[in-house]
Amino acid sequence: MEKNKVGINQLALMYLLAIAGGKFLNLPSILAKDVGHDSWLTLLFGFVFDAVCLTFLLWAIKLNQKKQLDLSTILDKTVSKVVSKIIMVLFFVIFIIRTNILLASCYKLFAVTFDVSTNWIVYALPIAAIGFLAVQLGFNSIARTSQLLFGIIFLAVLVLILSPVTQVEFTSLLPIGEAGFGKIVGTFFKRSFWFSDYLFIYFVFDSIKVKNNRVFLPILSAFAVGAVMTIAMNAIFVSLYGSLSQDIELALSKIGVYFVSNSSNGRWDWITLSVWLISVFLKIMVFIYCAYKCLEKLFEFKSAKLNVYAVIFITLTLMLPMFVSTDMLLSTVVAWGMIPFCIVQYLLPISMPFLTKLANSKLEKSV
Amino acid sequence: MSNIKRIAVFVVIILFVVLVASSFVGSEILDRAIIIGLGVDKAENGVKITAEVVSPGNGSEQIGTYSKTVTAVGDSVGQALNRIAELTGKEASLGRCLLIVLGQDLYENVDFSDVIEYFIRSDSFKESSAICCSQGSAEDIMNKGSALSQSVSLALTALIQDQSEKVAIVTNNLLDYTLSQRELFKTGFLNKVSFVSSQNTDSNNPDKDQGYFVLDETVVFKSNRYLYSMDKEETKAYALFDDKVLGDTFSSDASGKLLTLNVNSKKVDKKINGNQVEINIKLYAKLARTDSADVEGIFVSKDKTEIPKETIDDITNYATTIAETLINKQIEYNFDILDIHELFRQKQGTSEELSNKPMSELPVKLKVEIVEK
Repeated sequence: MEKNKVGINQLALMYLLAIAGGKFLNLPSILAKDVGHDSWLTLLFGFVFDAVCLTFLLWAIKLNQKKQLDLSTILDKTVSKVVSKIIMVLFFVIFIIRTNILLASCYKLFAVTFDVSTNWIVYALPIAAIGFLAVQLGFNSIARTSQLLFGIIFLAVLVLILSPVTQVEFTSLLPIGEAGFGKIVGTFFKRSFWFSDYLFIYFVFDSIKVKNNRVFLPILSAFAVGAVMTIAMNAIFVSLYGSLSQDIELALSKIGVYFVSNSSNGRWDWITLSVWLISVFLKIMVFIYCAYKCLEKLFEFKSAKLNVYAVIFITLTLMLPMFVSTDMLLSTVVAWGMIPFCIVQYLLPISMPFLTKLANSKLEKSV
Repeated sequence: MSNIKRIAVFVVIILFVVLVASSFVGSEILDRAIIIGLGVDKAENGVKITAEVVSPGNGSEQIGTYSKTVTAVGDSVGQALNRIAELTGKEASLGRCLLIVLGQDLYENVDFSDVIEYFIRSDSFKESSAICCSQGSAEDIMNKGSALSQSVSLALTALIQDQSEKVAIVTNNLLDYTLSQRELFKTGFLNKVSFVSSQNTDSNNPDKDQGYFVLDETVVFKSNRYLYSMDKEETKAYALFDDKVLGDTFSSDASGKLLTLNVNSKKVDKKINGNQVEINIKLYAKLARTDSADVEGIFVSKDKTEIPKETIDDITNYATTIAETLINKQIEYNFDILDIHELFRQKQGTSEELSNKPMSELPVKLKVEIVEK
């Protein structure tokens, strides 16, 4: 549908914004607990792995330009409808957990950084409402908003990351690889849930507008910039906070607080942090959109109007943090689901070019 | 959609907006006691907190009132701060706190880890806040009047965070101090602040002690327990090892005239050679004149030579002697504020053996050089 169409450059900008999110909030402390000051190496390894999978996914996008098949059709035609539905369930669980983790991080950030507290229901409901408005308006609405706000968000992140650089002793990252290569790589697999931010691309697979056959360059460039920024942020955080890093839940917020050292500066980190938070909310919009699309494919409802049951169900799942902490979610659902999640996070993108080609040829034959 | 339905949807939206807006509990600025500095002393059973609270003043108050202090006692820091909220009727807001002063009775007699932990674990407390310890009680210091500033906390913070780097005093912030007490050799330092009275010219507070704060001594701690007090000369020597700290001045009459040298820039090179650490300190100095006080840096153009060789030799000897004295004190009292263990960690990684290695097993070879520039 036209309202879901997204240009390749828009997709690249959205992807760049999506790379941050949890990686700037909870992940640094989790990695610091696992591998100490070598956490940036785990990120580096994770991004290399992501780059490989992303390249395959982009190749699939290129192959799909002619027929513009959606993910569900490709899976139905190649791996059967049942497997296709199982994959949709996995996607749905991933998106809902990621949304909840991001929501919970922002909730805490509001409370501790801005000193504004509220109850979970009135916090999550307006966000869910905007998410469903985005679903109704189409993916293009999120893409255009991201495009519009990209400059100011990017600038805010740069200021937040680069401000403390002069005060950081990067020698505290030495010796490089102290945790051991095995542990660094092992930690990546253990924490792989936090990577593969390209997952949302599956849900606009049939709606990507490509000009002059340029698929790889914009997306891979955005990915490289996002990866460098995330690794730099992590290195700065670990260098600054040393053994305390593992106890700090909201990394980027803390970096901002650290730099604002003098009263005459006021708390300008609030401005930059607020602007950056817009990108987290955009990411949440994308996840809600994708979760809705998963339900759409699972239950095969196709209508111009929002499906009320899907809306209610997704809204109810966003109430999860009232009953289960994010730590609990990560140590139970995410830990148990690591291998199935890896199927859609890593195996599926690598298989996508072949599946796309196969689905295309099957369709051609049937015609 | 019928009109009734439209009205119903409109009412639901309005109710939703009202519900959302009323559920965000912010706090009004007038309901908060904005604390800019905290003094922590030992009380009979727990701690005594003296908070400097911003008081912008209103029509009924004297012009020029900037802040007021509130003192409260509690079993812990959290309790004492709660008591401040009780006393002032306002929520104690620590997000803008710039300074923590630890009183002598507290830091010399008890393990104050829980005090440090309270602040460092708070999400909204700035870890970059200045921290120091006081000669006498922190309450006394917080209740003094600064001759050149409206607030003790602002005056001390400016001294610790800005001015110290230009007058050869090495300072610390809460984060660096906390890390020094929990990583590797677990030793670190705090500047000791003392008060020097001057004539009180503040007509609004004629009975208040007014004067200046001095930071020329340093106290060393191990795992938040008092270990050793460095005197003025050792504090001066410590500044030699920090290339971010400038403004060291040395006087000598070796050439027949009393000359003073001012250090403009510094190069401190620390490296491991076998089991030994080599520290080479290169001080770029020039004769102190009224127009040479500013820091000019390593890239300043070469000027004519003015300093006699005897003066350079004399000051080199003096600087070497005080620096070696500090190194020997490190061995004698077994503390490491020169980051010798950190140097080995960067090469070998963290290990129990390294963390427990006494300073006597880590010899240091020192070379001090003075270059006129």
